[in-house]
Amino acid sequence: MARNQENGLQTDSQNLRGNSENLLERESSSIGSDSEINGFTTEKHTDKYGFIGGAQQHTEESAQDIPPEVVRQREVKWLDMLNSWDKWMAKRHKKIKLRCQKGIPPSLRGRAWLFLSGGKVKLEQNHGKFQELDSKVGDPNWLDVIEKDLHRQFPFHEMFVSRGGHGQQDLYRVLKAYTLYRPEEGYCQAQAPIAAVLLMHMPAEEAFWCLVQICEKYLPGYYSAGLEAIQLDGEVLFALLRRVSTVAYKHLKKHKIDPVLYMTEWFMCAFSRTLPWASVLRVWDMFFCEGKPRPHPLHMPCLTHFCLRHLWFYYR
Amino acid sequence: MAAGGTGGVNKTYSFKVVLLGEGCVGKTSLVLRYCENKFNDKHITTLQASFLTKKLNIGGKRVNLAIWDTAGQERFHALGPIYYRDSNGAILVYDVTDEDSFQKVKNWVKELRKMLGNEICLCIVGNKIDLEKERNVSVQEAEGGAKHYHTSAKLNKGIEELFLDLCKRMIETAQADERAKGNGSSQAGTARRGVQIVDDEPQSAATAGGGCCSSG
Repeated sequence: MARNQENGLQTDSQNLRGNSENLLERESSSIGSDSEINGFTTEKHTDKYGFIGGAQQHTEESAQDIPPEVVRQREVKWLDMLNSWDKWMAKRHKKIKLRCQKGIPPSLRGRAWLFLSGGKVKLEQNHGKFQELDSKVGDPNWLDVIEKDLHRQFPFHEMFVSRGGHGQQDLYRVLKAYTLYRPEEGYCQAQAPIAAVLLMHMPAEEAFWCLVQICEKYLPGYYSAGLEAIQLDGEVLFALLRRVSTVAYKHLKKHKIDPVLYMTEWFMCAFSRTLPWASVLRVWDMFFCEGKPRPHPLHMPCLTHFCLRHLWFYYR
Repeated sequence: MAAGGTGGVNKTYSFKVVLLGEGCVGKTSLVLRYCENKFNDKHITTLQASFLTKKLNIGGKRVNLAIWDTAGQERFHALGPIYYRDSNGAILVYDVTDEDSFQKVKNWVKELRKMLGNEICLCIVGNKIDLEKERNVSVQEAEGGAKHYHTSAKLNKGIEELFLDLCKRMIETAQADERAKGNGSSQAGTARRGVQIVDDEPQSAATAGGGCCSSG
């Protein structure tokens, strides 16, 4: 609805129009549109997640820092788990879940996601497959659409800021490979932010297999023609909202705000465009551990927030 | 969200306008330029319909526009009807450097006419005229369809005109609509002044057209 990249957790009424505004302010104050190739990123302050600006850039309030010694401890525990992963998955899955809930240490996040998603197994079962797909010529129709989207994913992340830079190149490879892997599915625009988040954490081949797992195991049907799965989940969310907040439910109903008008991006991008970055990562830790971010009480603050903004907007 | 507002002289119209067109033709940029006078070449793909509002005053008539921006990719067509239902106007955008995107606009015209008939005011917009050198859709060909406009969100060209014109047309449509409703489809506004209108028998509605079917 109101553009979504804004910080979904902050109650900032000025922000109703969302990300574009924020992005713009940042830009006008700093970046000339053509200078990006010249690596202006070095002059800019890059946050610890690689953002040089935009609404999702890290701020003091958006995440608490965990003491280094705690991070070290967690790293040791995670390394131990990853080294005997099958055993842990079979016998101590609850413990894995608990540790995901606490947040995966940043240094091991990519590997952990690959393991949790089953992308690791897929990769091992299909050795050389990605390289094979990568070397093929894709369907020009899909490639055309993909190319138009490359510079429009996380434009304030250092990896994706330069046209034709490494981030965008890898994004192209991963998305192209998927259209070759599942030609009947092709490419859906909402896959690009997902792939981009993965690429921030792992190399192209691993990102590809994680993407495959997300599209087929975690969010089956979300990106398929007809978009039926997402519409269905919208209805489920709406039904859940009715139970959680009748007021919000009735208000949306009265104004004929179909769930699809606000939840498409939340769900299709697994909140990667919606939340502050530190929260995105924590949500994804749980997403990979527990599966589909189904309509869940977690979404409710978000939805309530949305309803309030909508009210404000309407009666302004 | 159809033409609303109360009666009287100082009428406020509320219109819903939807932007449709292929991905990357500049729908978001058009809206952003119009509503906030900004241009941003660092933005993200639109996956989620979003809206911005704009208030206008056209010859004393107040207009509230709710402008809906939509996702461009073919795949999101499945959600199309949710976006364009109850719209008073539609802006169908293509990129002048991209012949394909113009073909898509033609499809939109067909779909909207089929689904919404003549109730909706259509504008076809060739955006990115700042890239005139790379033009791939000839002006002649483009002009063939519905009411046509040429814009550049980057250089802020043609956009005010586009929306102003669309608003005027939507007002006309709304007024015609009101006349049709208010005066029971018979003699329009002429009966207003000086003539006392006396409510006659309820049967009168049936006597509209002599013989021919007047379902209008």
